[in-house]
Amino acid sequence: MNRQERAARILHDDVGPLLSAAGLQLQLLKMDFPETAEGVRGVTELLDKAIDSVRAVSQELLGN
Amino acid sequence: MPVDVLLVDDHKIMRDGIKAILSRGDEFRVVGEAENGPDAVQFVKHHHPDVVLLDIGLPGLNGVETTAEILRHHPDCKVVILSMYDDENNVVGAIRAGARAFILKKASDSDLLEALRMVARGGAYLSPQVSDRLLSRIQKGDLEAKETSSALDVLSPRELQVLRLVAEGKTSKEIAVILDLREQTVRSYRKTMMKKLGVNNVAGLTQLALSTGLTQLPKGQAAAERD
Repeated sequence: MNRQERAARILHDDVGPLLSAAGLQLQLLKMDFPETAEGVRGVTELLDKAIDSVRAVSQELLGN
Repeated sequence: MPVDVLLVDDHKIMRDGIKAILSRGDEFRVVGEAENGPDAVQFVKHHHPDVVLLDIGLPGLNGVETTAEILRHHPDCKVVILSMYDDENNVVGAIRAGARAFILKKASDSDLLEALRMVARGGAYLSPQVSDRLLSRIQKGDLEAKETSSALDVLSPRELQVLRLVAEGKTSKEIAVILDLREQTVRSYRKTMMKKLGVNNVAGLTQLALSTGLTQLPKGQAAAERD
C-alpha cells in the first residue's frame, strides 16, 4: 500500500468513525441536558462538515 | 416489552455511543454486540434478536453481505444499516440485500430511534438525506442506467463476495473462514470467476473489482499471487 492509500485509509477508517463517535456523544449530552440542544446542533453541523471533508480528501487521495 | 437489538460495528467507540443512546429509554434492549459480519451471523443464528443495527463498512464480510447472510438464514430478522456516507451503491446494495432501513452515522439520535421504531413495527426507514438523494436520482432517470452497465453482472452474489475479498488481498484460506466455506470451494469460485470474466490471474480480478467500484478502497498490493 503506498503512502497516499495509507493516508486515505486512516482518514476513512479511523478519523471518520472518531468524528461520528463524537457526534454520538453530543447527542447523549443533548438527551441528558436538553437545554444544550441549540449548542449541540451547531457543533453537530461542524462535525458533519468535517466528516464530508474527510470523505472528499480520502477520495481525492485515491484518485476517485 | 423492549425490542431486542444486536449492535454490529468494528469500532467499539461507536457501539458504546449507540448503546448509551438506546439505554436512555426503555423501548430497546441491546442483547449483544459484534465487531464483524461472521460473528453477527452466528449471534443471530443462536439468539434471534428482533433488529440488527449493522455498520455497512465492516472489514471482511461487509454490511451488505452480512445483511444477505443474516436474512438467508433468518428472513424475519430486521436489519438497519448504519453508514458514514450516503453512497448510492451502498444504499441500493443494502436495500437489495433486504435491509429495512438505511441511516447515516451523522444522523441525530431521533433519526436512529425513529428508524428502529419503524423497523420494529414492520416498516422501513431512510435518513432524510438518503431519501432526498435517491428521489432526485430516480427523477433524473440515471439510477437504472447505472445498475445495468456492470461487467460483473455475470457473477452470482456469492462470487461477488469472493471477488471483493480477493481484491482486498485476502487469501483463499482467509476467504473460506470469513464466508464459512471450504477452501477448495473458494478456489473453485475463483476459477469460475476468471473464466466468466475472461481474466487469467488475481491481478486481473482485482483490477476489474476496482474499475467497477466493487472495491472502493484498494488495500495496496492485491492478493497478488499469494495463493
